[in-house]
Amino acid sequence: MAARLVETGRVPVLKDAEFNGFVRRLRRTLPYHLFTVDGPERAAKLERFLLSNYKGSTDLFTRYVYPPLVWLLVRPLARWRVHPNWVTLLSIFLNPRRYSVLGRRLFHHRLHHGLCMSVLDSVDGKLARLTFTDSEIGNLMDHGLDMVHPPLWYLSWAYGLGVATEGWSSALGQAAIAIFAFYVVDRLVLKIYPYIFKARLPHPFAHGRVGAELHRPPQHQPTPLHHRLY
Amino acid sequence: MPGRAAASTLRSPALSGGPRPAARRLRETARDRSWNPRRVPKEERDLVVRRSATSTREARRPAGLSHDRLIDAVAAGSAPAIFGLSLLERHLHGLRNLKPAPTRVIIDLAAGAAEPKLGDKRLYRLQLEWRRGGESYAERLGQVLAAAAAESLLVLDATTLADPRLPATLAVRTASTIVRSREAQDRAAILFLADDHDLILAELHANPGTPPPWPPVWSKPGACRC
Repeated sequence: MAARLVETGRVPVLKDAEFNGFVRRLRRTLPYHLFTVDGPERAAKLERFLLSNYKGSTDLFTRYVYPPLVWLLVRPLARWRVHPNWVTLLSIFLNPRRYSVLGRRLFHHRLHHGLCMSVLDSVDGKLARLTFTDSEIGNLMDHGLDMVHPPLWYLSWAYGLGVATEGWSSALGQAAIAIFAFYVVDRLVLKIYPYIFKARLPHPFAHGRVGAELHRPPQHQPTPLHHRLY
Repeated sequence: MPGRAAASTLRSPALSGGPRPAARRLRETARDRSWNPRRVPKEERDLVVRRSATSTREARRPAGLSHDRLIDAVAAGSAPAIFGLSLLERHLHGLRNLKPAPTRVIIDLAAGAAEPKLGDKRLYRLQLEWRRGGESYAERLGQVLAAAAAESLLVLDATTLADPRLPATLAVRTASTIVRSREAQDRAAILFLADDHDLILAELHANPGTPPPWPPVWSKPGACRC
């Protein structure tokens, strides 16, 4: 019936240009998807497709190392209906353990705590989006942890490397303090900038022509399903 | 103090009589194809909503966007789950985030099929209406259209994986629209019907026995269609 309605011109088809595909949280423009699920094989392919809608790769780890690990973790967690906030809480639990490990010069033994935490950081967000369980408190915990732990990581790492014996007045200690200070200034600038310029990054011109051009959905692109699977 | 805010809004010269700039702008923006409620400045959104503010959700619908949505869903357990969520649940999550919320969500099950358990209790906040019947697809859709009167209708299928952003995109449209899969060989579709139900009723009368435009598996007993 839908096909006949389209063929006869009675009901128009939604065009790509009519769909605003910009996803603010991912800071990406994703075209809409619509697929038939007619079997387990197709379902598995679509799960990979959904997982490939990643926020983006900023380094080699997020491009090559994390996605397979996230894939391995997200599927069973989603099937067991584990709430992503539990994953975030586990990540928070691992955080102080990691600091204590680094502070005792044991980072070469148990540095995997750090890797686990960063993987879990990817897992909870992905799990939340894929299972529609994202929440304000989860967002707060996740991004709060992302914001708080790096400077503590820097300080504890420096402490384990030699500040414990050389003191904070050493070159290493001064460098760690400088990194800490720059991190705080960087975060403050990111928070203050929108208020000064009355705009919100990364799409400050969403109401104007610039925003329309920036966030215009891609047109006449075939579904890249087979390209997005990995 | 929403009540006080509403009263002060009503007394403001800009909204006391004649055309209301904010309301007019919102309506004009709503006609824009790329309209997104989150992109309308909050203060303007609030102005329009508070103009008729009451405690009921029905009355909070912005002027010009007051079409009701009726979602016909025929569910079945034949389709595999995606990341632990059935496709029906995924559709319902997409509808859960709609503002205003749909007035009814009709889920057509196969005759004798048990009502599937929804894993997320938030989904039960939707006005779900479960139906079981052995009628053909055309008959069931005709019944829903006849009952819907001038309400708009979104027709989904529970064997399709739909982008959860699509219902919100379609909900603000004033004309009937079909969304087809971006894959050429995939016959998945979503049908949004505005108040021009005559088109569909005429099509159903002209071809009452024709199968739905979706894969044949959906016509089998136990298959789900929404």
